[in-house]
Amino acid sequence: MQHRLGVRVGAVVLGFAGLLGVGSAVASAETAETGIQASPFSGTFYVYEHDDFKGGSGSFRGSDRTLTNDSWENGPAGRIMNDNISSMRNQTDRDIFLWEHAGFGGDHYLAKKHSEDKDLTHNSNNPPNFDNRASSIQFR
Amino acid sequence: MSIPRVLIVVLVLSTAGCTAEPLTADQETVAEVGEEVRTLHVPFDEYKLSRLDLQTIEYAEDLLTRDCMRELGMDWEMLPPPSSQDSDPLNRRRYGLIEPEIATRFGYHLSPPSPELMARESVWAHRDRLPLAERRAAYGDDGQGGCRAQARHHLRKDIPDLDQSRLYDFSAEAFDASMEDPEAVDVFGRWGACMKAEGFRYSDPLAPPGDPAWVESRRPSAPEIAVAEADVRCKQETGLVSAWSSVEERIQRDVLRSHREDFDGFRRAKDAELDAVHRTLEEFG
Repeated sequence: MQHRLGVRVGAVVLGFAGLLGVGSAVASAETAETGIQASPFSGTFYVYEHDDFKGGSGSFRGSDRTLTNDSWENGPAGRIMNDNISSMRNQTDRDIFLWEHAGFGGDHYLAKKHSEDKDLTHNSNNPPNFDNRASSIQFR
Repeated sequence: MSIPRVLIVVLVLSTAGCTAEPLTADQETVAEVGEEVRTLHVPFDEYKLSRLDLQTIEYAEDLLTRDCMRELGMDWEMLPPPSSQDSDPLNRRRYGLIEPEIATRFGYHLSPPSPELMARESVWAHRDRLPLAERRAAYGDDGQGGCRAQARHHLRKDIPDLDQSRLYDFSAEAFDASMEDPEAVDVFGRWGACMKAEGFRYSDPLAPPGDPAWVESRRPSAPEIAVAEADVRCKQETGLVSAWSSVEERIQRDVLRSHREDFDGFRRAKDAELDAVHRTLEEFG
């Protein structure tokens, strides 16, 4: 299953009001009613299946409390993002947390605004560190 | 002009209401952070930016951005000033769900956003809808420049050139090690036995929130709440949080001792960024 941007943003905000960032919800509601996507100026958070921004990719414009239902764009069919992210580019104006577990639990990794990390395993002799570890994404 | 908070609430609730049961009044009310969460700290916290730190940085960036925008003859809507107290501490679910009130009201789902968070989100939403001239002034032509980039660079210019993401490598390794420590394994076993006695089987205390039965659901179900309540109860009965946190603290302190130079660098980086922030607050705030 491939996700278009609007679909993903909508999918994560349609439910229980307390789950996610409200900003995403506003964007989703407007998208649904007007077909207008959020401004590109607010930026996008990109994640990748492999190091160096390779393999499948995913794009986020808001929080997602579980990646278990998110498949890679441009990646192998049936492969999901959960516990499978190896590099990231945060091109948004917001700091973003990658959480080890669904629902923003366990340990976390801070992806600062306008930053990138080409190898979430880097500088370690003992993988996985935060490579192949993230299960939820939180725009703070 | 920001989007009125009430409009945001209406949008969220009306969207949710299209496909599911309406929220109960209880589920629309923000849950206060539990007492145990407030006291939960690990040594690496001193080297990481907290949510309040990040809010303070954002506020300083906004002050610099506003100054820059005014020089261009435009205004800039500010995020609210940093809160006095963290409404969602980063360690809140470090060891899984530990708050009885959350378990009973929301299961493994989250409390609604606090009014402070709602106010912040309304500002972020407003920024997605700036007129073109203001967008370009704030973000540049590619979204990565403009007054926002100037503000960021100003606050970061004195940060030592080191790879701060290594801090999260150390943190993740220590967290993994804590889960394999014999003391933690022992308390996990007692927690698992307690859960089994309650009628539930899970591999470890971080497993229940990700149960496929509810991980993608839009709102908490009765079975989810029953498991969440048993989970929190079993953590309390076995002293799991205290035991696990003690193990992780010991491991993190060992890492600190053996990588003193790295952590001195992380501290210098954090201090440099926050020093620049506070200087900005004094000058522009």
